[in-house]
Amino acid sequence: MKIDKLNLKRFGKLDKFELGFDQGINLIKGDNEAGKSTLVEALTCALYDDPRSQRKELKEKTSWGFQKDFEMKLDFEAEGQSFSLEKNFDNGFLRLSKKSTGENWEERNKVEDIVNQSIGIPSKEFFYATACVQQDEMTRLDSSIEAIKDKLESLVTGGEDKVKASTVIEDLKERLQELKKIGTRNLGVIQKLQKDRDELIYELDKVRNQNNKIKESRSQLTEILSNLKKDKSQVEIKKELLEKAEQAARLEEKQREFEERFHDLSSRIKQTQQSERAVRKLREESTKYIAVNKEDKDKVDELEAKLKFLEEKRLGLVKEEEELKNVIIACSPSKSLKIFTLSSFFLSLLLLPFAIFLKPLLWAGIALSFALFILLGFRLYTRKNEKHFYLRQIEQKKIRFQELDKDTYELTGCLKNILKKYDLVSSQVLRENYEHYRNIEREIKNELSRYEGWLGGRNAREMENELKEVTKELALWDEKAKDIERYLLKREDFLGLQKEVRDLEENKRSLEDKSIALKKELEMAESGVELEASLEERLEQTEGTLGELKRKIEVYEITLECLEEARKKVIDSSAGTLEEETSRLLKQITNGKYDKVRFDKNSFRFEIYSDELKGWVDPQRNLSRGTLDQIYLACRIALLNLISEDKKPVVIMDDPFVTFDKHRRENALKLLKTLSKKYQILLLTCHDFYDGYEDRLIELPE
Amino acid sequence: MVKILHTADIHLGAKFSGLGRGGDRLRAHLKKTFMRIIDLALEGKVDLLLIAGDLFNSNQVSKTSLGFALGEISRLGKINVCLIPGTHDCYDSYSVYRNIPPDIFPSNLHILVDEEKPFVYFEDFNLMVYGKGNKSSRSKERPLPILNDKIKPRYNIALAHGSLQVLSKSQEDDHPITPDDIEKSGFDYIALGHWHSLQEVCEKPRAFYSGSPEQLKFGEKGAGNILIVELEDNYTKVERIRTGELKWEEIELSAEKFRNPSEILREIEKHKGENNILRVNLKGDKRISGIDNLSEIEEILADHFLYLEIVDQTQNYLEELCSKKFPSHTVAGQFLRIIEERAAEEKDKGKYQEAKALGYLLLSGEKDFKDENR
Repeated sequence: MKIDKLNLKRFGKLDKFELGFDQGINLIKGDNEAGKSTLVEALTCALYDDPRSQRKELKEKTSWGFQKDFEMKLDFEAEGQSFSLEKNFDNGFLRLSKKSTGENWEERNKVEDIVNQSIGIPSKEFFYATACVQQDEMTRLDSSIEAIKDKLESLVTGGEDKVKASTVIEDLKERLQELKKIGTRNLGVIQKLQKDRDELIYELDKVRNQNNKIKESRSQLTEILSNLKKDKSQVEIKKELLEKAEQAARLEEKQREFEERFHDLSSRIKQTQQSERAVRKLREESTKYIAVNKEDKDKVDELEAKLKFLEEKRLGLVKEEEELKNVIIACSPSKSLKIFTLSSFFLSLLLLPFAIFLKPLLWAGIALSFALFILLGFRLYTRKNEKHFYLRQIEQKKIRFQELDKDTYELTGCLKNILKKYDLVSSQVLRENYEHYRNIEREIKNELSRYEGWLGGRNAREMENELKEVTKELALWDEKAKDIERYLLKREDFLGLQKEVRDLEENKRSLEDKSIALKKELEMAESGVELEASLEERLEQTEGTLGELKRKIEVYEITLECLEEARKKVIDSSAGTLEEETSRLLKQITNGKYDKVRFDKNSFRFEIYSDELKGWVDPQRNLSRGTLDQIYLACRIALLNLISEDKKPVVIMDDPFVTFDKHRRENALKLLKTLSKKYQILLLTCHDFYDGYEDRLIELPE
Repeated sequence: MVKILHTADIHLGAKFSGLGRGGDRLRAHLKKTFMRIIDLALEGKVDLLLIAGDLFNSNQVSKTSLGFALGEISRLGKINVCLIPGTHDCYDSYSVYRNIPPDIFPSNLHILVDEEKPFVYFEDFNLMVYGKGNKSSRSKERPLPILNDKIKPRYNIALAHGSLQVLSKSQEDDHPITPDDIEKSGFDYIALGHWHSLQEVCEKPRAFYSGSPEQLKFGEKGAGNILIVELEDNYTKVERIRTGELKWEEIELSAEKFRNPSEILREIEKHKGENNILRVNLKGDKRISGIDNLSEIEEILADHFLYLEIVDQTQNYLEELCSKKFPSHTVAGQFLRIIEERAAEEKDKGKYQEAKALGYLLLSGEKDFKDENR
């Protein structure tokens, strides 16, 4: 690429400014503040900026005191074609024309495409990083080889000169780590958000549950209250039925009671009447009998018993007399005894004369007969005595007979008196009369006591009245029962209804209890939808932030991965080319003294092969400052070649060697001269060091 | 003459999606609005306050909020309040209007939910208010009550919460009210609720949507009013009173116009106000302004707004970044190529687009690029 001409209107210090450029070194000289930097800015702006952009930094470029923003026109050549690029930052006009064909492009993308293709560097940042060597850039590399190494890496990285891919990668890693950090006391960003979110979810869940429970309770309460209403009316209906049934039952009871009393009274009256009749009959019967006094009857009994006794006694006496007579008869000495006694006596006397014979036997006989005579004689004597004794006794008995008879006569007289009193024939009849009469009397008494029993303490009239009363009552209750009778229930039905009412009431009570409990619960319940809404809003927000952060992490991760891969690929592929190109340029600059450079792909340290030392050497230790400058320049140009892919962009150098000593500067300028064969170089300075090396000298007006 | 205050759709306890912690403040503000309505009723010495549905945003009202609302109503003393459940606080089985403890139920409140007797009569004014609260959030049932011809008070007023079937967008199951229903209804005034914007629906009889007394979201025009209705025998005067204090504003700012964060802060500050809910859609490229932490700006200005939200809609101008422009020998070139390759296989291209821009910016030495969450 070769820039031919630049026209500027209202661009900073440069208004209505026109400048032409040649191939080779264009030495642009001007004092400080003459507008060298403005010129560089104008050039990059013409090459890269979009005239429609509203960015402040661009708007600020307009010369002071002008309403309208700046305009610019750049004529350049690329691949043998001449172009003219016009940009008006005031109205956003953009046009690129190809001089040879007269073609025009106004569409931004198309224009940018052609311009970028011509320059070979895709963005302003890249341009500054490669083709534009800033003031003091070389100076800043003085301090150490590390700086050069970093610079080289950043150049390979292809971003702005201060940025290294490795730093970017580290930075990204650090950011990711920071985001993903999980700490115990100092929580990581995500961790904290997640914790917040989890807490919110927990809270929300709690509140929602509570709310749902309340909702449920409310619903339940509504249902319960409606059920309660139904139940209440049901209870009332059933209760009324039950009450009526009870009433009917009570009435029936009363009815029955009166009926019973009625029957009782009726039967009692009947019974009393019967009793009365029976008594009458008995009384009638009793008239048939004589009412014998009990004393009389007893007396009669006593008398009779005495008589009987006397009779018995008399009979005994008779018997005894009889017996006595018999005994007397028995006791009177029999004729045989008398004969025997006399005989014995006579015998003994007869024998006694024989006793002179003294014959024993005769003696014995005489003794025996005498003895017998004594004996029989004694017997006869005692019998005569006995007979006298018994005869006396009979005499006595006869006296007693007389006494007995006397008694009996008296007694019989008494008896007869009594019988006479009652005009009765015998004591037997008297006794019969007495018994009959007494029996009837007893029966009457019994009947009367029964009668009293039937009356039960009342008199017959009272009872009659009572019956009348009861009959009346009964009729009244019957009347009363008429209306309510139909409510009367069978026992089991009544019990069933009773149970039903009880159950219903139980149910009612339990529903009431429940409704009270629910009401209380609802009364106690706080929370509500506000808290839920508040938590939901906060959760939404937290989740939103968390989502953004997570997305950010993902983006970071993608960026990081791609960057690492890109860095590895670029270093792998470009290090070789860079080594080659740098070696070639270095050989050219050092007149063949050094011709080999190699880069470590990871650390980006570089080494130089020294023929003198026959080996790879650490440039910092073994090479002079000037040589290092040469190597850096060689690297930078090699990189430019690499990036621009032989598009040969314009190279801008803003006083690059200002702090170099004379010797170093001369070497550098030699290199620049060599480079200028290939690249158009714009060398800006306020010094005279470069005089003589230029192909065209441009002096900026003061 | 009878003087009536007509309001609806107060939505106490509403959820404000997307407003984060601002929601709490807004809910508190709604309570304030309701208090203001009560004050207006007292100051204006109205005879009747009508709430045409959606007093609460939900049936799940906390004890405090219910106590608050009922307390405010009882503050009206002898001024009667007629209320119907709307769509949000419909009269379902767990309705907030069921089983309110008698000790906190104001004697001047009449909740019209009885199907058998959908009216309440006020002898002092010879006035009848009809209303049958909505029983579910959605229903095809017509919410407009039917006038009972047998009872002839001097004034008949209807309360209804539903959507007027005039626009093609009205849904059948959104408690439909047809203009025909209104015209033939025979009421003297119909107080409508459900639409949040004030709107006159019919001239004879006069039917109005009072709209919400406070705007509840962005772009809800016409909200923030109540109506004072004066009924006379042949004349009905309807007057609007502004109650809305909230200012819902959505602005668009181009980040490129600002050189630094404080400039943008100053710009946003111009819209400040204690009742302002501001959403700033930040567009353009924010790199130049150096705004890297929008939440910081939000935090700084938080006290000047009821709620402030800055939505980052900045477009990275590097989105059109194309690998072709960059030599493959450079990390940037290589990076762009790799990421483009990967993105082609991915569904979520946005992530790769972001990664691409991020990587490029980092490689270009975007020094001001800071992590917002650091």
